[in-house]
Amino acid sequence: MRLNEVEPADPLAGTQAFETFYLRHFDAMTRFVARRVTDPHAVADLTAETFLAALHSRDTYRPGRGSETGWLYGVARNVLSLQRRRSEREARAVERVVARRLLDGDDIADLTDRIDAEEPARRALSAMADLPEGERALLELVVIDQLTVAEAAQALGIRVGTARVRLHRARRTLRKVPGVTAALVTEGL
Amino acid sequence: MTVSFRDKLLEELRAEAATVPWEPRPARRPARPLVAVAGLAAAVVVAVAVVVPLMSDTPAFAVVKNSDGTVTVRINEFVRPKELEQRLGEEGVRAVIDYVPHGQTCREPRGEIVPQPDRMPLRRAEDSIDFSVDPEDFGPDETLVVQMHSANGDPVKSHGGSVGVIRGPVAPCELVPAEFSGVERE
Repeated sequence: MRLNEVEPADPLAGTQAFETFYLRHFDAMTRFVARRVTDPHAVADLTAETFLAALHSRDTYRPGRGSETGWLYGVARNVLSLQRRRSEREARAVERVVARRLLDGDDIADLTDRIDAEEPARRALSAMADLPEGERALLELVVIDQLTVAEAAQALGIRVGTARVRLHRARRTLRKVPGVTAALVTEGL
Repeated sequence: MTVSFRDKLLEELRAEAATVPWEPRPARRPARPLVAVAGLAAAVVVAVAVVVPLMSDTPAFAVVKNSDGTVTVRINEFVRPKELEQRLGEEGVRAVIDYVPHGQTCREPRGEIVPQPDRMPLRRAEDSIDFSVDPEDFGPDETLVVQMHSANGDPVKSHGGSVGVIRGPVAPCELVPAEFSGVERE
């Protein structure tokens, strides 16, 4: 039952709250990143960057205006999109916290397991690549990352009603794509 | 047992968290967010009008470069958008600014919208609207697109609007009635 599952009034109010917030979302965030990059070092770096970005932009989270999950996925999407842009621009010198130095052999094995476990999700993501950006981003968050429609809408900064319309449209488009399973198209919609 | 990556990263974050100020910073914490939107399409739907009296002797707008590299734009009056575009250009942000009559909007979509939640929340200050952007956030082919409207054509009475980012070319603002903008309705 998810009755009374209430998030803290302000999960980013202080150091203690932030640590709890981190522990609550660490697994989901590493999986989110592992669906999108396949190098364990990059997974570690991007997970670290996401939480650092969350720490430094904590005042953009407003309790009562949506869930912390939706907000954090929005932050993570920004981090990944900036990272992609950096690669596209041929690695402009950017000062980064390099989390990979924290990794030992066990950590790399563990992250590699996570990356392998997300292989089906990565295939599904590539099947969606041709959808219009707005629809693809939503479908990703709802079907692949298992966010609720409300959380996904928050992560993308759009209204829930708009999100439903776009999901409906994306589902119609995907039905015509060969190789896309019925589950992918209908799950969560 | 060795310490896992999760716990090592926790240590790093704990150290980082100890260096940031945890008191609410009033300057960065808007009391009443006006609209915080990712895409222009969504923005038009949620645009709200608020009554904001404006002082007549304030400049139409101000563009301030902050020490952290971000640029804060404050709009006091909806006039001379081209000047604001030029001023933003000097700070390294390509921008398209449109002030449209109340009840009208630019036909959507005007280009490929870049979804960026919380990237540039639009805020209502005491007597103006302001927002901040980081020039570093913009890709080489991305444009900041700002659209504001004022109730009854009177810029000193009330306003609402949207801020977003478009990748690639931005279509000129073709005015259409707000309810027929091509924006999805629920």
